[in-house]
Amino acid sequence: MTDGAASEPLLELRGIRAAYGRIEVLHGVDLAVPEGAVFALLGPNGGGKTTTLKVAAGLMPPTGGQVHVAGREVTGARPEDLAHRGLVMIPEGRGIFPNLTVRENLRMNTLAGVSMQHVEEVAYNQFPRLKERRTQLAGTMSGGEQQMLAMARGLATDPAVLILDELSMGLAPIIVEQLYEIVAGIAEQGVSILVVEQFARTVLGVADLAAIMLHGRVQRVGTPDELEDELSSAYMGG
Amino acid sequence: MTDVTDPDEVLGEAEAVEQPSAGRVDRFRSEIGDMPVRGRAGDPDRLGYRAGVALLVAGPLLVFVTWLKVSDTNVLHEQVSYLVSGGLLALTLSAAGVALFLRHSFSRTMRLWMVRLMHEQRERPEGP
Repeated sequence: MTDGAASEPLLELRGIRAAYGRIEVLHGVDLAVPEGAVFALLGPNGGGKTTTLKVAAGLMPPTGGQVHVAGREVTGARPEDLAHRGLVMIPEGRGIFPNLTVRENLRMNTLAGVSMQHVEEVAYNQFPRLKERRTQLAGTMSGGEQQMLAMARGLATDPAVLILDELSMGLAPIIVEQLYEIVAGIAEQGVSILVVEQFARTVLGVADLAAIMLHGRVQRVGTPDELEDELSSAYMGG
Repeated sequence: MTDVTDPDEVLGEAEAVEQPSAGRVDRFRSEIGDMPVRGRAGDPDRLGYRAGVALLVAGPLLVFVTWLKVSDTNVLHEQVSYLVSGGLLALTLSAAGVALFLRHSFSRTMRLWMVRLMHEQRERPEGP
């Protein structure tokens, strides 16, 4: 976490309420991601974690509450505007184009005004394996490589805030650990990271702060050490 | 489904990435500060959908008002005048309402359809 962590958070949700149709799934979520910190959002399925990320990234308008980014209220801002300025989300399921090659997938980032040279430089420096695979169709790569491609695309636009949804989905635990080492490296460069993860133990190893979400509410916020004992009861409904 | 590829082989040796400029967060703060925000009511789909519904109500209402006006007089040129002004305006409003309603209903439907496609794609077995 950088010194800026002591100042105002880079991403903050205040009393967020959100609904799918008439069914409210978030009932007043408050959380703050300090500058340069890794904030892990944990909890069992159906707790509202992914919806929280969607609201934070501007993909879903909240029915109540406020989203603050870099100290400014941006509730209702368009997700492309936020992404263009550096609040980037890597969705669950990776969101890559399976019928395009690695290079073509990376080229999509040039639509955001970044040069292809820069995109490739960032992607291949962080993930050398992608350079070897650059002419391969993304859909034919392994799950780990696809996740690397998704992360490379997110990093190529030089994000200040990175939102990761279920990085571990469909991956072997050992690959997840390796990916989280990379996430920790990204955070050390000053990027603030909000991550939703089922592999709670793994993400707690790199997180500065964590929150447990249950039934659309943040039940507890604290350091990984403080929350570790409460995780089991949260997942087991105890 | 679990990926069983050797992680060392997959991840390779990650080289040191160039540190972002110290001013990245400052630039982010500045750019967010200048970003246009339209607020909750600014969703174009929602606005277009509501405008379409409003016009679809306004069009038939105007037809009814025009009919009342026309039936209120026996003077032919006045009736024609009401028909031309009120009737045509009502038809135009209704047509615009239908167009807006369909356009913004379809975009919501198409988005849901895309989400479904993505979900189905995710359910498929992964590559080798």
